[in-house]
Amino acid sequence: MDYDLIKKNIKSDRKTQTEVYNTYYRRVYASCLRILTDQYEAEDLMQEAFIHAFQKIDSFRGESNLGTWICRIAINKCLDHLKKRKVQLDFDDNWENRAESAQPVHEDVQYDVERIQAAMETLPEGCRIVFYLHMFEEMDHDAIAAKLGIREGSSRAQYARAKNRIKELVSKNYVRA
Amino acid sequence: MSELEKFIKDNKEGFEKFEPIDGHQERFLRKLERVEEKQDQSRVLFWRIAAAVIVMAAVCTSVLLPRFNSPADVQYGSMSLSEVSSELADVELYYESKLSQEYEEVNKLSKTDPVVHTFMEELRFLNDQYDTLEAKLYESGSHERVVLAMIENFRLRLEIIEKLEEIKEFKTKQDSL
Repeated sequence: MDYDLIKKNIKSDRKTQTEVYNTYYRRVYASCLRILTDQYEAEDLMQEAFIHAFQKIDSFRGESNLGTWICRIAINKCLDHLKKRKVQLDFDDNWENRAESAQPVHEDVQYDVERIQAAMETLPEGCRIVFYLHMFEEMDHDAIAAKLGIREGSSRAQYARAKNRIKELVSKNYVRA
Repeated sequence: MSELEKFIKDNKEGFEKFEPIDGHQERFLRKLERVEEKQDQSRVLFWRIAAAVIVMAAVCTSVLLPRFNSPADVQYGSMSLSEVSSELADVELYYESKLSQEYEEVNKLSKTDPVVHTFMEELRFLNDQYDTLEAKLYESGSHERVVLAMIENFRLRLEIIEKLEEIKEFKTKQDSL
């Protein structure tokens, strides 16, 4: 993609806007859906992120991929949306204890996308968001802690627990795709 | 990096295979159009407000600046008796005409006669005082005491002029002897 041409045209040229939307919407939508879990809200905020990106294209310095930049905008919008809705993210360190008794994790686990996906959906909201931001968006725990208003140590702990839980569920075939 | 993390990293695209609900592209274009319409309306509103501010500034400048630049009082502006009422306009006209008739005549004498010179100094002082009273009249909003002080100022100036006329007549008589 020619970023200079995109920067020049994206504010008003419908063809460029449509092209950028069609190239990145899946990725941005996936980011929104993982945070919000609601299809309608995810679509709404994904589209808001694109519109915001079109309007603020001058601040895109090209240091990252355009899709990554739009994703970051979308993630910020989703987290702000949760804050506005006053959704209390569950960062309870004891959630594992309340879950079904822990199963021993087999080392020779056969991972597949659907099972991991399904296991992620069973995680508490706060824990799922931490796992997603670190694993998929490659954000460090410092940045995640700042975004979610939690301690860095808490972010690390939530991530470790999420990872173990996913492994546990997938290895025991607990989660059926 | 654990097996789980490695698997996710290697199969990231597989985790992004979510599709928004059908018709999302059309909904996006409609949303984009609505946002652009709103921006156009905001732009029109901005220019309307800007135009109104410019007109207001022009009106204020044309009305207030002449007042600020008036010679009587640069800071506050001034007001003559004729602006208070038609009766006072007559009073002002009467004294102004009387004073201007005699002023030039007696002024010539002041160059040769030290007594006349002293009277003329007094007259100049009263002239300056009258300018100050005009400024006070503007400030006070036609206060009665200021109007009376202005009339008294006229009376004193006329008295001095009359005394100067007497001196002039006396000198003329002396010269003819």
